[in-house]
Order: sequence, then structure tokens, then C-alpha cells
Amino acid sequence: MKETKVNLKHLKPYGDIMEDGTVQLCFTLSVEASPEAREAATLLVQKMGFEQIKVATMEKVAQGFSTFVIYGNTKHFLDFTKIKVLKIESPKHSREEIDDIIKTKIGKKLVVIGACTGYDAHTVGIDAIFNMKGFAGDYGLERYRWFDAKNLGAQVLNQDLLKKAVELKADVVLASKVVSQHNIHIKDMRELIELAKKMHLREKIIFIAGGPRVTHPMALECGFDAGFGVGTKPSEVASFIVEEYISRLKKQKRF
Amino acid sequence: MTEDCMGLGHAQEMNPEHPNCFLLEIARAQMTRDIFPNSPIKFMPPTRYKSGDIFYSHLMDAMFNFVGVLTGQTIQLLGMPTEAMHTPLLQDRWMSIKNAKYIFNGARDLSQEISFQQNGVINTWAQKVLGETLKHLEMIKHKGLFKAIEDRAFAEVSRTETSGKGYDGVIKKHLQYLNPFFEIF
Repeated sequence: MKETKVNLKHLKPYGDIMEDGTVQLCFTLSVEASPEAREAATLLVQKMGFEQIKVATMEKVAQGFSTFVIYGNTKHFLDFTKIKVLKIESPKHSREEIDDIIKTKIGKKLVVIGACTGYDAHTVGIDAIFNMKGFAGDYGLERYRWFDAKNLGAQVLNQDLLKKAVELKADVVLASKVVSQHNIHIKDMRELIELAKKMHLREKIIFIAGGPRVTHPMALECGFDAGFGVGTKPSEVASFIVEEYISRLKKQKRF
Repeated sequence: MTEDCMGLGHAQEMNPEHPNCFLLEIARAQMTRDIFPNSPIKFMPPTRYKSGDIFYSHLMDAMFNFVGVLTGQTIQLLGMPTEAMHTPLLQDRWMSIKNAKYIFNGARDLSQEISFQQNGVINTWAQKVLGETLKHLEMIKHKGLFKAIEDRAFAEVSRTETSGKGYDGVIKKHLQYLNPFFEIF
């Protein structure tokens, strides 16, 4: 009998029937396209835990290289109810609410600076967060009355960004990372935090990373306070900033 | 340098959700071709609006190739389905080449078969872009090149006169400095 309702304790990939476990795979083998190559690909996919393997295509992509598109059904499943993910839990506020929270609870303008760090020149993300007009109908940080927001633009080296943070007495630093070739974004992000620690800035400043390959857990691992990915709206970043700032204020008062 | 040695680059970077975005892309690519008939034109693929959706990305590249073949771009750089993700894998490159071959073969002579309506969307857009470019150039002339660069006149990136990259690589030449390679070249 076909299951029609999802069993969250037994989650499998869905193709066209519940729990069929269908997965599409694409990979290249460094051997000439041949019946032997096809058999090798099938056996490899079998070793990965797939059944009912269908080689959709085998293409000669270069001399001595063959690429496969293969469908298989996985035997594995997962208990979805046990999944835990680190994510930003702070409540979301509108621009008006955020301005009001800063005005009444913080009582001073928060200085936010941001840049595309290292040799990264792709400012589309940081611009969407900073620029007046913002992104997807959500106004940028420059528009907020209680943020003193400054976008330093592209290719700002980590040490220059931190120098500027000291000069402007920044409360928040946003680092935008777009280029991720050979994980350069992770290296740059780690370096920024290391430098901040050396300059005794880590505790004073809220560090936020953003970019298409940035995730919250990965940003935390690099030592940031938060990470935001594709499609993030300025008000989401702003909400995190005020919540984090206030929680730090509370901690200071307690000790 | 003569015009035929001056390669001119531009890219297809419009928001794919914009209504009629291909008409506007065709307008831009065609006008670039028409304004510089003697220069090789390098047409670069979409990157700005690419995400991890490699299938959609592949489709964006297909439409980019279509605009390229239709408007007679000289050098077509190929987009990668995994743009914005990783250094292209071998199969990514192969997909891109297969995509381009299909479209450049299939629509090879299309440009000779069609013309654009005098007051249609494509021509109107080209006129608008041309007008704005002229204004932009006049603004640069008025401000001066360095000030204009600082004010994000190019690709919305600001570079100031006193900061930037590469200064550590600049050296003062000795009076008797000699580089024989310059002579040979």
C-alpha cells in the first residue's frame, strides 16, 4: 500500500511517491565513457546505499572523462523530530519598531559599519542591507533614524575595517563575503575575528557576516555573532542588532 | 590602438524576474554591437542574480546565449550552472559548452532574419540607455574622472584617490632603468 501521509520519524527523499527515497546524482569518473565505466558508476552508486539504480545518461565530457546522471532510491531515512539547527532566534521587528527600541531602551545612535572585506568587490549584498532603498521593499540601514550606518564599499582589508571601526566608535561591524573560491570567505572571516581579538574589540563590537555562502552556524564557528544568507532583508539584520545589543547591555548590568 | 584591437566588455546582469528582461537585454547587447561595429565585443554571463539553483542558473545561461547569438557578440563567455558556488566541476563546464553549442548552432542565422520595430520596446529602451549614458559621461566630464570614480560612477564601486590596492607594487625607477622587454615588444 502506498503511504500518502509523511511519517516524520521515517523521513526519506520524495520523488513521486511517499518514501520512495529517489535521489538524482551527477558525477564524473576519470575514465573513458564505456560499458565498463557505466558499470563502475552503477556499482559506486550501489555502495553509496542506493537501490533501483538507473543510469539516465553517460556522456563523454573530455578525453578520458565520463559524466553520469543517475537516479537511485536510498535505503536511508531520518527521524525529523530529532533535528536541531542553530538559527537566529531573535524576534523580527519593523524599521519603526527598531528605531523606537533604540531610542527608548538604548538612548544613543548605534554606529554600524560594513564592507566587502578582503579582495571581494561584489557589493550587491552589503548595498542591499545599507542603501536607503534597501531590498525587496525593506528599507536599508541608512534609512533608520537611530543607526549611524556607513557602508565602506568594496575591497576593504580586515585591518582597515577594524581601524575604521575604532575611528568611528562602531557598535556593529558587518562583513560581506561573496567570493567563496577555495573557501576564501571562511579564511577572511576567521582572520577578521582573530584581528579583532588582538585589538581587544571582539567584546565591544557586534560582528555580523553576510553572503550567499554564509550560514548562521558557519558564521558562529568563525567567531561572529550571526551570519545571514541570500534573501536577508535589512530589517532582519537590524532586529538582530538591537536584540543582541540589548542582551549585552543586560549582561553588563548583571555583573 | 586601432578599434579592431580594442576589446569591449559588457555583461547580462538584469534581474531575471523583471518583465521583458530579455527584450531589454537584447536592446543593450544590440546597441553595444551597433555603436562599436569594428571592435570585438566580449559578452559576459549573468552572475549577480545567480544562486545555488543550478537548474535555473543553467536556464539563465541558455537565454544569455540566445541573446548573444541573436546580437552577434564576438566573444561569448560562458556562464556556469554552479556560478556563486564553487570552482566549476568538469561536468559544469561540459553542461555549459553543450548549452552554448546547441543555441549557437540552432539560432545561428536568426539575426539576419529579424529587425526591431522602430518604436518598439527594444528600440525605445536602447534610446533611453543611450540618453542616460550621455548624461553620465557629461557628469563625469563635469566632475573630473577621479572625483567621479570616488562617487561610484563606475560599476557603483567607489575608489578614492588616496586609497586602494597596488601601491606597494609601485616603485620609483632609477634614472638608468632599462627593461629590454619593452623594446622587444
